[in-house]
Amino acid sequence: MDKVSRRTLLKAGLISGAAGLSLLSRAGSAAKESGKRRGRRNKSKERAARFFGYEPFTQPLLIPDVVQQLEGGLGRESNDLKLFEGDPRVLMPRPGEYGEDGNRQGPSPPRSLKRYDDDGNQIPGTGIGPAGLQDVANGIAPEYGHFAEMVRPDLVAEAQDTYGTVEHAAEFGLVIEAKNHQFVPEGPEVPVFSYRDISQPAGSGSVPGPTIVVKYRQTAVVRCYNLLTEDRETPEWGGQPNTTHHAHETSIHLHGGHNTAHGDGYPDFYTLAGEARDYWYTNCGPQETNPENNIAPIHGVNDPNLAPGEYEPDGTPASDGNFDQAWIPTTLWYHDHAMDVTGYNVTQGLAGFYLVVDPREERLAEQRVIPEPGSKYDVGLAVRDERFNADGSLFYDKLDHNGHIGDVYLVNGKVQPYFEVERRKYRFRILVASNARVFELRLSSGKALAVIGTDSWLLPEAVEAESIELSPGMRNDVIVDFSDYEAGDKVYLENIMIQVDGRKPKKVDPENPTKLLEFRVTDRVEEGWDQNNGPPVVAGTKIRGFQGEVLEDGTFGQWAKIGANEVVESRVFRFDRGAGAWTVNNRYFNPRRSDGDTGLGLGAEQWTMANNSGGWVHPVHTHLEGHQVVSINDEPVARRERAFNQDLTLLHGGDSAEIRVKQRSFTGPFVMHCHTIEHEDMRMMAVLDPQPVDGVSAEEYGLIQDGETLELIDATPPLDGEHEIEPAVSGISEECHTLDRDGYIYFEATDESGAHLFDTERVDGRGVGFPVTDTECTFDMTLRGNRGRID
Amino acid sequence: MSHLLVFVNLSIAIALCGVIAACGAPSSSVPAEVSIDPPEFTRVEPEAEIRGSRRKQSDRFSNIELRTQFGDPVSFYDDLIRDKAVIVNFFYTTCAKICPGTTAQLAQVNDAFSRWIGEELTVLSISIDPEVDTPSRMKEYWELFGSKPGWLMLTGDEDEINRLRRQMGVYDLDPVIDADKTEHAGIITFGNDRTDRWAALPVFMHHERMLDTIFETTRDRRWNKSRRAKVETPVAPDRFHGRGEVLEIFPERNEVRIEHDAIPGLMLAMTMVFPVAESTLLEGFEVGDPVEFALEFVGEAHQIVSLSAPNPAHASGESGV
Repeated sequence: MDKVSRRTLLKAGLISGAAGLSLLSRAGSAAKESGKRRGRRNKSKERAARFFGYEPFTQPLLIPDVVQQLEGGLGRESNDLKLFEGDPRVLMPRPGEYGEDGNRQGPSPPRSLKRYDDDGNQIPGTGIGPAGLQDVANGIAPEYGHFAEMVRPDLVAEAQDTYGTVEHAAEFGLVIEAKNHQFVPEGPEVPVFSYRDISQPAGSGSVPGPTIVVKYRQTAVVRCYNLLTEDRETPEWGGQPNTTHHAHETSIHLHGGHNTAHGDGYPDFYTLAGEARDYWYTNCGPQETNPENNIAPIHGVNDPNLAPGEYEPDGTPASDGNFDQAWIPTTLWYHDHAMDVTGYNVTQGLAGFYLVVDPREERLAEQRVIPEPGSKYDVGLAVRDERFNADGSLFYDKLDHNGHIGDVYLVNGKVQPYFEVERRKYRFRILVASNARVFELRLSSGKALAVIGTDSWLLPEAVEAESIELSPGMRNDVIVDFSDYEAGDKVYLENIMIQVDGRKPKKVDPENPTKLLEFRVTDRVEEGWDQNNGPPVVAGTKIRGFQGEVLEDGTFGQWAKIGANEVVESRVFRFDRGAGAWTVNNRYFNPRRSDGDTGLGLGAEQWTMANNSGGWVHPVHTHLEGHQVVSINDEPVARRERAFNQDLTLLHGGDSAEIRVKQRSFTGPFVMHCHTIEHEDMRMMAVLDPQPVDGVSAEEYGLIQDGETLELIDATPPLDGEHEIEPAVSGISEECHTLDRDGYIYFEATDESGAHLFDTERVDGRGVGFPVTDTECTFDMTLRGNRGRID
Repeated sequence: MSHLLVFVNLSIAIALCGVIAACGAPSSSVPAEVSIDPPEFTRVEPEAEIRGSRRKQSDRFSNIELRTQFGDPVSFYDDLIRDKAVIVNFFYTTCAKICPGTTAQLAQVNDAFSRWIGEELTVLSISIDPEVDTPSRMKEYWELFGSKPGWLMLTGDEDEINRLRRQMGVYDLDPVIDADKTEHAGIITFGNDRTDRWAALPVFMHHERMLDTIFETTRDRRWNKSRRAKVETPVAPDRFHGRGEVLEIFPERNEVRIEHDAIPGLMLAMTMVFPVAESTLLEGFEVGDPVEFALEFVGEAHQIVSLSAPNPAHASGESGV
C-alpha cells in the first residue's frame, strides 16, 4: 500500500473515531506495518485500534444462565410460541411417547414449513405455522427405555415422582434461534445464533448457550427445537431475526459425552428448521464389559446401602452398576455438528457448557478442595477468536478451507471482559471454542495453573502447569486461588501462542502475550459462604485418585490406565491433505460408510494417529469414548495433564500418536475427526461403527487366555474398502431408502387419503430418522448396546 | 449514540473501501490497551473490487471479464453469480491427471440437476491455463464431454483468474503446492447467491453424497429433490481408448511419445509421453507407426495398458469409451 492511502485510512479512522466508533480500527496491512514500526505499547495508536471504541476489560464477564430443569416450577409462559400442551412443566408430547406423526395430539399436519411447487407458488396446506413445532420429528434414540438401569439408584425415586418414569431423570428444553448480540457495550447489535432455555422468553438466548447441569447417571432428555426457519421474521413465528433467510439445519453434538449415535449428534442426523429432536443423554461412563460373556452387566450390583461411587477394597465398584469409574464425564460442551455447515453454525454462536456432577466431585467440594460444582465459584470460560465485518457483524468465509482465524478475542461471547473475584479459590473450566486457533494459556502473574481435569474427565491427581496448550474443542479444568493475591491486583488470563492462519501456530512467544480476561481481585466476601478456603490444590493433590489406592477420606481411587494387555486390535489412521481437501486414510467422509467396525465392548484398541499433511496441525477428536495417549513420536506425553483421559489429541505436523481407546455401550455410527472445523466440513472425518461380537466372549474369541492377550484381531482390517454402516444395528439404511422412501423417517404420518403428511423430500437421504415400518428395515433393538443378544 | 451517525460512518467506510485496497481486510481489531500486537495476517485477501460490507460470500468475488467457449464476453459477478446458483471448478484442458475425472463428474452433475440447469443453475469451468485454453479449444473440450447445455467454460486473464480462484478458496497456503495447477482441479465449489449458501467439496468423494450436498447448498426453496434426475454413480470410465502416431520410444524408461487424436472423455488431441504398463508392450513398434492404445489411470498417471496396430473397423472414428 502506498503512503497516500495509508494516510487516507488513518484519516478515516479519525473521522469515525470522532463519532466514537472506530470502524477502520485495524485495517489489514496498514495496521500490521505501522504496528511493527511503532512498537507494541504505543497507546495512542492502540486507542485508534479499538474495536468499536471498546476499552478492553471494561465490560463484565458474561456467565451463562443454568438451564432450568423443566420440572422445577417452570412458571413462565413462553411468549412467542406455544411449545407445551397441557402441563407446562414437562415436555409434551412425552419423550418416547409420540403419536404416529410425532405429535401426541393427533394427526394435525406436522409439517410446518412452507413448500412450493415448481412455479414458486406455495403448496396449499403447507406453512401451517408454529403449531407444528410440537412435532418431535425424529423422536428419540431407540435405546431410550432399554437402559433404565443407567439411572443412579438414588435418583430413581426422584425420576419416578417427577416424570412417572425411570427412563430419564431430568428434562430440559433448548431452542435454537437467531438473535441480536452485542460483543462490546457500545458496539452494534448484530445477529448471531443462540441456544435458549425453553423456559425463557424468545430472544433471551445467550452466546455461549445456557449451561446444562446434571448429576452423574441422571439420564436426561434435552428437547431441542430449531427455529431457524425461513419465516422466522414474521410475527406469527416470533419476529426474531434469521439472517440466513432460509431454513437452516443443525445437529447438536454433546462433546465428551458417552451416548447413543442418535444422542451423540451424528453430522447428518439433523434437527431441521421448524422441527425438534429429543436427545437422550446418559450422563454416565461406559459400562464395563463382563469378560466372561462379552455382555455388559445389565443388572450391576446396586446395593442401596452403599453410597454411589464407593468401591470395594479390591477396586470393584460397589454400587455403580459396573460403570467404568475411570471415565466419569465432568466438563462437557454441546455444540453444532451439522454436516457441511458446522464451521458457520459454531461461528454464529452455537455452543454451550454441559456439566455432570458426580459423587466424587461433591465429596471434593465438601472437603473444600474444589468449589461447589455449579456454584458462582465454578466458572466456565469459553475462549474463542472472531473476525468482524466493517458493520460489526460476524465475518465468516464459507470458502475458507484452511481454518477460520479471528483477530478479536472473546471470552463467553464478549470481547476481552473483566471478572471480579474474591480472595478465594475458583474453579475455571476453560474451553477453547475456536474453529482453528490453538491457544497456549497462562496467568500474567506467572503463577502456575493447577489443572484438575482435561476435556471431559477429572485427573487422578492435580498437575501444575505454567501454561496449557489447548486446541479447538479442548477443555482444561483449573483451580486458581486468588487468596494468593492482594485486593486491587489485576491478573490476566493470556494467550502466548501466535497463529495467523488455519495451518498451524507459528510459535509460542512468552514475550508476546495477548490478554484475554482480567481478573480483578477484590476484598468482597460473599455472605453465606463458608470462608474456609480448604487445602491448597498443588501438584499431586488427589482428585479422582488412581484405581487400587485408598484415598485419605477412605474412598477408592477411580482413574485407571488402559493397559497394553487389554488391546485386542490395532488400527492406523492417517490424516492427510488430498487434492485441496482433507482425508483420513485417503478417504473423504461419507456418512453412510463405516471406516472401521470396532468390536463393541471387546477389550481396547490401539490406534496410530499419524499426521502426514505437511505442516498442518490437526486436533483429532473421538466420539463415543475418550482415549489415552500412550506416546507421541515414541516419546511419552510431554504435558503431564494430557497423559490421562482426553477426547482430543493435537497432532502437530509429522506427529504420530499412539492412543488407546475402548468402544463400549453403544453401536455406531460415530465420527472421529479433525476438530479444526473447516477441515471437518471439508470431510476430514472417519466413521466408526462399533458392532457387537455376537455374544462371543473374548476368551472364546481366542484373544485372551489367562488374562494375556494372544493376538490382535486382523479379521477386519481398518478401512478395508467400502462397507455400509450396519443398517439393522444403526438404524440407517440405504436399502430402506431405496425400498420405501417414506419408511426412511421415524414417524409414519398419513392423512385420511393415505397420503404422507411428512415432507419426505426434505429429509430424503439426510439420515434424520430411523426406519421402523418396513420389515426388512426393522430396527433390531437386541443388537443395540454393549450387551450381545438379549434373546 | 445516534444510529444515524453509525450509518454515516459506515457509508464513509464503505465508500473508502471502494478505492482502498487495504479495506480488503475486514476491519476488526484486537483492541489492546495492555495487550500486544494481534497476529499478523497473511491470509489471502482479494486485492480490490470488494462490494458491500462483505456480508455476502459473493462480495468477495471480482467482477472480472471472461470469455465463454462460444467467444461471448461475460462479467463474472454481474452475469454469472448475481442472484444465481452456480457450480464452479478450476481446470485446464491439457490436464490429464486429475481433470478428466473432475470434468466427467461435472458432466454427471449437469445431468443430475438438468431440471434447473440453465437459468437457475449454471456450471462454470474456469481455465487456470487461459493462455493455452482459447475459447475454440475449450469448445472442443466441451464437446469432448458431451456438449452439456448450461455448462460454460471460461477463459480470461491469467492473473485475474488466479485471483478469483483464491477468492473462491481454491488455493494452498504453501506457494509451492499452490503453483501446481493439478492441486486445484479436484475441488468443486458451489453456492447460491440468493440464499448465500456456499460450500466446496473434493470431487473424488462419494458421488451421491456429493450430489446431496450440492443440492442442499445450491437449492432454491422451490427445488424439489424428487425431480433430481437419477444418474449412475461411477463417473470416470477406468479405461480410455485413443489413436495416434508413435513419435518416440523410450524403452529404458518404459515410455512412448504419441501424437494422438482427441480421446473422448479424457483429453484433446495433443502430443504426449505416456508410460506403458510393461516394456513388452513396446515390442515391435517403431517411430512413425500408427497405433491404437488403451489408457488406465494407475497411481499418478494414465498408463498405456494395451498398444496395437489400428483396427480398420475403428477407422470411422468411433474409438472411445
